[in-house]
Amino acid sequence: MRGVQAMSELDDIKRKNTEQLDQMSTDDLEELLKAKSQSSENTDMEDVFSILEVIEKREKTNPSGKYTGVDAAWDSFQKNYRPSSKEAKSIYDFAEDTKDNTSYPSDVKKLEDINLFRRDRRPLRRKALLRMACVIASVVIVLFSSTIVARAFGFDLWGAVAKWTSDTFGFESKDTTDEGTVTGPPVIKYVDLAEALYDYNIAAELVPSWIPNAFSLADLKILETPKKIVFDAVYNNDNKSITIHITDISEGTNGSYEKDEQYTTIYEKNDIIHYIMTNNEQIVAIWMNENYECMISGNLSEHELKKMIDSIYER
Amino acid sequence: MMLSKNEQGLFIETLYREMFTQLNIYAQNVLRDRSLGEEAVQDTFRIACIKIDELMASSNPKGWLMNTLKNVISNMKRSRARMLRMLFVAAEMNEASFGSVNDDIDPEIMYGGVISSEDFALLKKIVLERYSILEAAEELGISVEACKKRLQRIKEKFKKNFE
Repeated sequence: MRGVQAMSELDDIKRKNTEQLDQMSTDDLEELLKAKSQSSENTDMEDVFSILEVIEKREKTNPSGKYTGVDAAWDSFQKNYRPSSKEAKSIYDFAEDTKDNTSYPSDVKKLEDINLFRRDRRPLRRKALLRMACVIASVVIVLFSSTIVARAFGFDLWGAVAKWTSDTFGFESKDTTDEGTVTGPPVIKYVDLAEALYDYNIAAELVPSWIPNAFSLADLKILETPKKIVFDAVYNNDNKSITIHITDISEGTNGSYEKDEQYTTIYEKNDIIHYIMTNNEQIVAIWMNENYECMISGNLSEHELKKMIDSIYER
Repeated sequence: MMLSKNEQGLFIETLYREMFTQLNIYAQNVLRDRSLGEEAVQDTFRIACIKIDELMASSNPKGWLMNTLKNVISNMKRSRARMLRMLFVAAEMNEASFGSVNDDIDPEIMYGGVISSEDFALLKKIVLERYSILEAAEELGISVEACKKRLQRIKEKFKKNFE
């Protein structure tokens, strides 16, 4: 009897989740999808399919024109992509690229525990459904709060004002939000900062192509929080170091940076104002470009720092 | 029980028609690009055809496809990022003589004869202009498979000469 009651509760939770998703706009569902795609948990696939089902249902009744119809896609598949033999490979399998990361699922067995397309109809685990309910509830709150404006239209760069006091410097926006918690270490190791930004579909000119001789990349970290992505690259040369720090500030700025009391100057390049200052014998440049707050700091001369900045825009 | 080729074909088509839209919505949003998203899904079903026995043995074909799509997207991003890096590494090695990567300099000169103007144009379309392989192939009037092989050869040339 308790089993029947639990099943009923689970069905109820699932129905409520679907109802909540149904009430969200397609744009918000797509944003939720993007957020979910960052998760490495296989169990999140249940949530992803629930979102996809809602969007698909809407596309069927009211096509947005954003997505190719299945008949045209099937024709293209038959004509352009269908392999001629079982020896064929993925279109993006360029041998050395996929040596360490096969295109095929390596952990299909794990997926068999998930109630998606499976042949046995065991109920979804209660924990997973409750977790999904919490996720949807929190997303709904976030999306329908005042920050939705910033999310939908991008961070208000015009409202961001460079503000400095005698010992701090930072960009300030009208909307200051809690940055949330770090979700975990990066999964992919990158060999340079430009590659990492490209992988995150960041097209803005942010990375210097010139770095002083003898400096080489020592560390590259990418930290993702629910509210921002931070790229941190450190270049070393003996005891000297240069740090490049790029933050996606679509939802708020980094806050302030420490600086020495006296020196703040402005360097304009490519119609972007770069604020140059010193802090503890290091020179620091801070600027904003599109939705990104950028910083270079290190044991550099002002001439070298400006040369690095110039090189960002030379490509 | 072993299925015939026709039965396997029917299985793929049924699955394709059932799953294409959902997978396409996912890929397009993750890649933020219509043609690249669609190509990722097409490649997923290409792999499904190649690994048909594994797919049919799976108790969760829908999950199998989604997992494959995620891996395809990941490989796609990695391949493109490496091609971009390849362009810049090669350009940096020649930078002292020829300056930066741009259209004013003949790529045949800039890349020391390693790459032809046609190959450079293809690489630029794929890497910098975010063409799908199908879009690039259609412009060149060749098949997707031939375009892939051409990219593979360009990569090998770069690797041999600049790494």
